Amino acid sequence: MGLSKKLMTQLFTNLVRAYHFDELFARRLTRGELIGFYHPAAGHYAPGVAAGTVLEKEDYMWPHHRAHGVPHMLSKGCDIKYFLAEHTGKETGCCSGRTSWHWSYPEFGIFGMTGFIGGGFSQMVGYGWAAQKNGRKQVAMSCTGDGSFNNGRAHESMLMASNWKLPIIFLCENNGWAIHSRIEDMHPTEDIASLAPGLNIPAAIVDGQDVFACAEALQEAVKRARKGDGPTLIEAKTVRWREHDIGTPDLDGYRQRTKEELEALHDRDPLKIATQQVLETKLLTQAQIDKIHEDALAECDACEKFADESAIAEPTVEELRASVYAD
Amino acid sequence: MIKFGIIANPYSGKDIRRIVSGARVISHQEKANIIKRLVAGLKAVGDCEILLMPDGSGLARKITEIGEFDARLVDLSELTGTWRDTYRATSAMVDEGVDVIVTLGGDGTNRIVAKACKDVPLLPISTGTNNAFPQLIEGTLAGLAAAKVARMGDFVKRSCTQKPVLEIVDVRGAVVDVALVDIAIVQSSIRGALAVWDVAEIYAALVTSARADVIGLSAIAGSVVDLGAPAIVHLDQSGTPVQAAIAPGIVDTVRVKSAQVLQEGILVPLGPNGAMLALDGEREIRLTPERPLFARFSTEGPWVVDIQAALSARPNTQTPSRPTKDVAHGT
Repeated sequence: MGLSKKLMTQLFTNLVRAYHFDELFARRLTRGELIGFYHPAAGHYAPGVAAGTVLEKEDYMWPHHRAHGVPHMLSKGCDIKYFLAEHTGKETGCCSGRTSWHWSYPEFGIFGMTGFIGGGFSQMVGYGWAAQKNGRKQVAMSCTGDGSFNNGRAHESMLMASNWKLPIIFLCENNGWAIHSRIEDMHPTEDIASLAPGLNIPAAIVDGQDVFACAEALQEAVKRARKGDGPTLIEAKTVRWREHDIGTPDLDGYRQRTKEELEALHDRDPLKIATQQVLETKLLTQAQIDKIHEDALAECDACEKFADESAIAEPTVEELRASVYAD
Repeated sequence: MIKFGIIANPYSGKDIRRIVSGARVISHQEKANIIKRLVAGLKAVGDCEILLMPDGSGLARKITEIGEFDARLVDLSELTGTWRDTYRATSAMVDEGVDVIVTLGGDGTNRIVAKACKDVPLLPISTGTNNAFPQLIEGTLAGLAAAKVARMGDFVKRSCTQKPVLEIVDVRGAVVDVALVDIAIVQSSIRGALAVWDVAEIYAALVTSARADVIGLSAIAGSVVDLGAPAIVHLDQSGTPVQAAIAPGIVDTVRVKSAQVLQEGILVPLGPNGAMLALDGEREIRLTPERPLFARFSTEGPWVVDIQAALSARPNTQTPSRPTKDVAHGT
């Protein structure tokens, strides 16, 4: 319990920013202004915002693939213009424009990603182990979806994290879908959180559409980790009201998800829920909320300008080799 | 044919208190196993129809798979994944004329069921966190008790007690909500992760029964007023220190500034504005100047099966009897 007014304001601001950046990335991909592909957040961004916001700059984080980690990274303090530049193949990108959408913000404890779903679990054990050994009270936040918990690495990593009491928070952002497959067809347990007790890891389920609820739970998990009490699993139940990635059919197995199904999910729009709460609690006025939206849109415009005006990356073979192999 | 309703909350026993206090976890699998044993008890006394609450998380499906019994899902037309499903399922079961409703949940689950169950007796099996209201009972025995209650006509009233409630009332006297165990007035202005686990955030607590044998706010009242009494306790740093089990795994010292026994029917103003009311452990209602609210103690809450009385009763020796009320001394 006990989110400060400052933290609540930051959470709301980051949620607004995540929403506008999601719209921006989706729009750019549709227009052919983004390299690769884009997996829209589309209702699934409160857990990532909460995860990034409750961490300190030096803490480690593995952002979720959905929304390409933007909610997580911007909430942690990363400047998204370098990621957008990366996503547009520009020399100023966070990986020098060579990867399409790989992130890298080492000064924020974010060191890269992998195309393998669930591939980050083992790295998180490494980050957690480093945090435990270096004595700087860092924690490691692993943000993945329900589909990633089908992966053997998830189970092995949680086992090791529990054995060694590593300061890791396993955040499962469960939107109920692994691409076109329902979670109930992929897991013998309905809740991912049910996996944790067998590994002696405490776990809780939280409303993934309520950014404040997510933050309360994650804040407590971070406290446990910093105290040396070991890993925690938080399952945030969220939704996705668009296709897995833009351009892929939005299927439930072989059946197209219906307009009615998708519209019903909007009842749990995280931005609507948060807006209602900040108004009801008089944390913010409507004028202040409008200003937060204006600032977020201005930030989006500035990021686009930076990316669009940056030079296209044209690395030489030697430069490519230098980026792959250590000296 | 005798009908039983089963309300199993898929989300009970899974909230943030698993992290902050080490409270137990009750998985879908375990809930389904409990219901399998429950149904063995229900059916031991003869044929019956079983109505289940549907849910979007697969618990009802697992119950029927594991339980190997026929059950009918009540028609909710649309699932919300919220307390509304519990409320509407309970109403539907009452409309269908169920004889007993068995619940699997904690204090919060039973609060919702109590709002809709009218005079249908409840048999609450604890699968929640604090579990001050439901009972820790083996499912088989719960099934036998529910079956006996359902098959004995006026015995229904003899083997049940009517529990008290705290009503939340607006200025027009309309009841806007109820609590079965306690109301906490907390500083937090948001619902957040719902649960209350930090006593430093509690201004005051109202309880239906001061107790020494339960987890939660009732235990604070049980330290300062007569056991069994409904009470309001104000907390403040200047108060007298009292040690109580606030949540599973959390024994804390709270400072009680004042305590009073509540009188039935008397309105108690709730404040301050901006605070949240946590009903039976879950933050639910924000206090605002535009909508003043009051608490009112009432002895006319839900009827609950007294398992000991039900199991030990002999149909041949029963005599009509007035129902007993669980007001001053608890059970």
